[in-house]
Amino acid sequence: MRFLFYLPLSLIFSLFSLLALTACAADLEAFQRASARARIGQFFDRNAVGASSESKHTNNWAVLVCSSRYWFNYRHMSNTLGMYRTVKRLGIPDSNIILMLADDAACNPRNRFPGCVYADAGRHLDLYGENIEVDYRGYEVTVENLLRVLTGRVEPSVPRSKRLLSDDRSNIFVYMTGHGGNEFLKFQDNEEMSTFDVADAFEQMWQKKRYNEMFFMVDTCQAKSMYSKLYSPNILATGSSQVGENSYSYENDMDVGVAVIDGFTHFTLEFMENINKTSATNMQEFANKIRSHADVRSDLFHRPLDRTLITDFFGGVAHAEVIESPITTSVTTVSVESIAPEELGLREPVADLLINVSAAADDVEDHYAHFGGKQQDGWAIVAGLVGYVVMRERRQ
Amino acid sequence: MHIHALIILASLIGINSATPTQEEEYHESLTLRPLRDGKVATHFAFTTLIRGAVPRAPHSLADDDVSQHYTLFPLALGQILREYAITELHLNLNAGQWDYDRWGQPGEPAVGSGAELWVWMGDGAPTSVDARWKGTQNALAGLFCTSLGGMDAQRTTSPTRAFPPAGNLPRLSAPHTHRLRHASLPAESVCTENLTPFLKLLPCPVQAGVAALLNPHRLFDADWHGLGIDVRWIAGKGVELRMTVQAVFDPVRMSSEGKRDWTLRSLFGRVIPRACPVASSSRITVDLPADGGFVLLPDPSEIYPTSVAFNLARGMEELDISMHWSQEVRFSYPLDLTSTPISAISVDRTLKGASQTHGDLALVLRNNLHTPQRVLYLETLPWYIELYLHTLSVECGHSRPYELFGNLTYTPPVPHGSPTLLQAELILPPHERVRVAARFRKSFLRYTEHPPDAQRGWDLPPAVLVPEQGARARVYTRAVLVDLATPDFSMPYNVIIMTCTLAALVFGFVFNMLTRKFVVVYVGEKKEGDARALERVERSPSKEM
Amino acid sequence: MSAGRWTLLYIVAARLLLALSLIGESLKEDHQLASPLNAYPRLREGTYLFNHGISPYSGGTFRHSPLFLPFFSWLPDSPYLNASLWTLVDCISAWALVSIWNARSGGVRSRGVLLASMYLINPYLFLPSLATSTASFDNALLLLAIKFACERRTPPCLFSLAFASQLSLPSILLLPPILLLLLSDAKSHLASPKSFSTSYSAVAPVVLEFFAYFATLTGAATIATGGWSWAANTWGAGLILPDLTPNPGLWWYFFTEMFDHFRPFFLMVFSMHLLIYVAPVCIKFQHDPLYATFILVGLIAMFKPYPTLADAGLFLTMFTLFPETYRYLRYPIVTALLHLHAFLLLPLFHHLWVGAGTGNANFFYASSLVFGVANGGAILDAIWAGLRIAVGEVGEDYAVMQE
Repeated sequence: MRFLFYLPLSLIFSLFSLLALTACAADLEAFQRASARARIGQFFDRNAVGASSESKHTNNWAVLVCSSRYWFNYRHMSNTLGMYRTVKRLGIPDSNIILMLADDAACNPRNRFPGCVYADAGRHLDLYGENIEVDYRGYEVTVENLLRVLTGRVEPSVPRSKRLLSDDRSNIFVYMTGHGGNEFLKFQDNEEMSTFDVADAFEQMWQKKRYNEMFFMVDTCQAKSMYSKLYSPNILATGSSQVGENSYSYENDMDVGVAVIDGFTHFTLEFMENINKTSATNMQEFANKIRSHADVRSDLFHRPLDRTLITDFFGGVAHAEVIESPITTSVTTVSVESIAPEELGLREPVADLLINVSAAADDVEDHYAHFGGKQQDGWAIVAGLVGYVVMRERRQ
Repeated sequence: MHIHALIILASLIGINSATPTQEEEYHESLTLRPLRDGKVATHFAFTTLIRGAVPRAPHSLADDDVSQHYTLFPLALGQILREYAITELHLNLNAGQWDYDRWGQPGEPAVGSGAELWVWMGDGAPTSVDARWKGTQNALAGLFCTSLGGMDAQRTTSPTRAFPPAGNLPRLSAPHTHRLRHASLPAESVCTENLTPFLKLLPCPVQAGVAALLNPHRLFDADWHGLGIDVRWIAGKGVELRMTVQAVFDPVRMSSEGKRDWTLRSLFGRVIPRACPVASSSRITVDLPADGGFVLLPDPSEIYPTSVAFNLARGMEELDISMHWSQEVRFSYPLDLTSTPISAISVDRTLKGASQTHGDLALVLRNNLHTPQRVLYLETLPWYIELYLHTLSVECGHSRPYELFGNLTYTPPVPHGSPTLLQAELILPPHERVRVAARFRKSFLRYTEHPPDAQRGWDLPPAVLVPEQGARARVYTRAVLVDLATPDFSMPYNVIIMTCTLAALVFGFVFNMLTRKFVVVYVGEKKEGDARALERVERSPSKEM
Repeated sequence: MSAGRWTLLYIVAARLLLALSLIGESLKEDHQLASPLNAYPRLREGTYLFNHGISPYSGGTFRHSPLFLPFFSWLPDSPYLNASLWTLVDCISAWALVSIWNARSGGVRSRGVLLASMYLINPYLFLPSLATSTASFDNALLLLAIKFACERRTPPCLFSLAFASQLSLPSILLLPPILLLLLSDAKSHLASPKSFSTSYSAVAPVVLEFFAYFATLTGAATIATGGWSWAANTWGAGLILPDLTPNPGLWWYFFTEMFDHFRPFFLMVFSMHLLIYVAPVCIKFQHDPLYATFILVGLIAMFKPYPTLADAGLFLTMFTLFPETYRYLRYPIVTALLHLHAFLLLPLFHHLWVGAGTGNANFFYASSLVFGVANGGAILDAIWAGLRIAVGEVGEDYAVMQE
């Protein structure tokens, strides 16, 4: 009897325990998933660039602009490419670098070393390398395009590689070099970008939440004037020279035939060569080291320089997100009929080759549909009018 | 967690194996052709075929695309093709002038200098063909780091006779048809930044297969080099992507002893380390020069009368091919290169006239064959070169045989709008020179329309000749530079101010005179008692008005 | 035959010889003599396309009126034929000018030979004719319209004017003074101004008749070319200035250097500027509408979008119709020297810029400004003299000035 009594009880119990077990299992799975995510996160964070940084950014961008055209401005190309190499070496991927080169120095017919751009007199390091992506080049390097890139006001069909897809957690490094003067930078010897344009573009970026912090570096004559009008928060700026002061090239290479790099960029790059992805060097050290009369402008910046890492701007932050929905693919087959070539009417042989001019057929057919049909009518009207005038004249 | 990951992985594989995948094939080849002038023409071709695939129908652009899965076909390019429903796409980036007389017909016909893009697209999509054309340019410009965005309406033409589809076009429901859009940028430079993304599209870049030879430092040092992308649909077969690299190297220039011997390492600075594992076929062909006396190493796998081939197989060792002329101390250039051209047609296009207002365009053609040839002549001129069609003349010897020229289609240029398009057929008598000439007018541009280096001049796109028989391989003429008058770029304000001043002065004086009364004023000796000495005379005519 | 007639005959013969010597072949596209709207090679290009079934107005090369097409499609392209034709057209213009003078002076004073030769040997008119610019046709039609107006022959006058306006749209601005001329007389009333006194009911039918002719010609052009594309290419060119080929006028360099976003605004201003003179000049010179016509011809020549030397030449030659104003001109020497200056500088600087490449665009622009100043000076002096004459002679101690 007791058995009979226990049977339903044990059944209920076993059912209950089964339920509990499943619930437990579900819990366990959720727990496991969460811990997995945390471990993945930990893994990436531990190995991330700038792990010890105080910065709140989650991604890094670089906008590198060489605004000078012509071979004799080789050094501006190499300045920019030197920066490109540095930011790429420190972890910013090509997709996050907008590189603007106003001329083609590497494959210029005057370049003795095709496909190479050097920044030192001994030609020790080829900056062009074998893996480079130039986003804006030649005539595309204009003030308008730069402002569009910065403010994000581009045409819908402009590809991702030509856009600055930053957000309010992005640290952006903006580097510009070229010929300039007090409060302007020349673009291709043709137009100028004024310091007010730069300041307003940065303000627009701030209002549109397109950056978290920005480091603005200019290598041009009177470079300090280029950032003197900035007024948006979280911008750190430095340049090569004071207002009223020129910036000079650093050295020539006799085989390249022109100056290969500017002084300020040379010393900046020299400093950067000692920095790696996990370096803890800070901006204060950078400010102390670079040989520039123009200091680092930090009044807009909210963090002390000695607690701001170089890699906050030059390094790349890598963050991975784990998504759970599986990716499915499906393939549908469609059967399509093709047009026979003769139907296109493109290759039909022409029997008679006398001069036979006709309007080009494609797209303009409507325009010509009625042309020439009623010429006689038109002239008849003119003739009739002349006749009428003569007749009236006679009658008078 | 690991178990879970495994399960997910397994299920993914399961899904993959359950659905029928499109079959993809990848073939690669390299052809090396020693030339008469000691140079070596190289031609890489990488062909990816998706069996059974079809181009996206234009009307389906309104809906979300069915998801695509590619294994070998480059995703980045596939996305562009789907996004704009492109049926056929051809992009070429070349630098230099292909010398037909010395080098013969190139492996890929598209050798016009600069960038050339042409696309066949069906209409009937929610967006216009021109909007998709613009989008295609921008997308390709982003993908290949080029300035293709400069191919605006001022450069776009539709030369259907010279650029018929290379593959097949799917039939669209009436009344929709396929449209051609073609543009070229003759001054576009080609450099490492174009090769980098190009290589990224290949299944086996740099590490294996013939693509391992593509070293930018050597490639861009070549006398002529070009990259090409051709996508077409072949009915019953599928969508084919053909990526090509061509270069003409000069071993004589590169060797210190002035010899024409070459090896893969001397040309490219690299050798082939191993075969590409995903390639269905991978072969290197070496065309044998006619003059003999050379040694080719190593032994080829296949031997034909005029060429030999090497098949790259899995498990192969490092491969370097070398060809040397052991008897030759120094390469001596043959002197009859231009008098004995190896191309079927020799062509030269020139601009004449020193003035910045007018000039003459001359095209000199020579048929090098024993039979008459019929060719299609395509001339695309930017709008600022206005051809005077009525001055078009054809000369052959001393006669002016107009019957050699005909079946002409012409689209006149629209200022600030669209270019001239001239397509005509020419008959070239055997071994005769035919000269086609026309006078043109140069336009004057707004100062904002000039490029930053306006004084350099403007590059005119190459003219194209298409033989109507045989392979119909296009022949490109040289791109010529034309000099346009420039305004002063420094003083727009001054001009505006001075012209307005003159207009305002005339306006002011005219209205002054028309609105004020005439008076007679006493200007003689002061009359006694009248200090003001001003006297109105009653004859003033103004008050009658 | 009188000595005067012999002189004329010599002049015509000399002109014909010069024209037949094909000296003008090299001038055909000279920017001073032929604008995009009236250059002969463009006319030939248009007729060529027209004859081969391509709309000549689908491109930007041909900007002539469609009314030229049937005639020049029919006329063979022979330089000798052209030389004769253009000489003939200039003779017609000279004859019209003489008729105008006869109507004005009542045949009292015979200056016909002088007037005709002033038209035939004026370099501003002779060179465009050598260059076979269709500006000669525009001038001939305008002079015919004025001649018929002076003779009060309404239908041919209005027809000529409608035709001239078809060929060159700014000529339509001469409708108000020519209407006044039709309704009053051509006699000189400059010295004794009186108000215009014709009932306005007489004006309406004449205006209607003009627009009937104009509309018929427009309709004929539209039907003949199978669409309205011709209007945008001919009349529209004067409004939006698509072709910036240099000319002696003020528009081309202004709009070459104009900032893109201000272009439409200034195009509007420059077009309006032409309109603004018509009413005031007609009101002020209502007592002598021929003089109002003359002043407006000068203003249009100076401010029209695509002027050539022929426009200024017509104005300068018409000066000979008003000998009574000569003694009241204030600075004829200065104006003449400015014209001489411009006439020498224009071809020289043009060549330095686009031919030799040793000068830049500012050189030619500067000389076109000098030409503008010369034209402006001549117009202002003519207005002054035309008004000053009414005051008459004043004593030695008196001067005439404006209040």
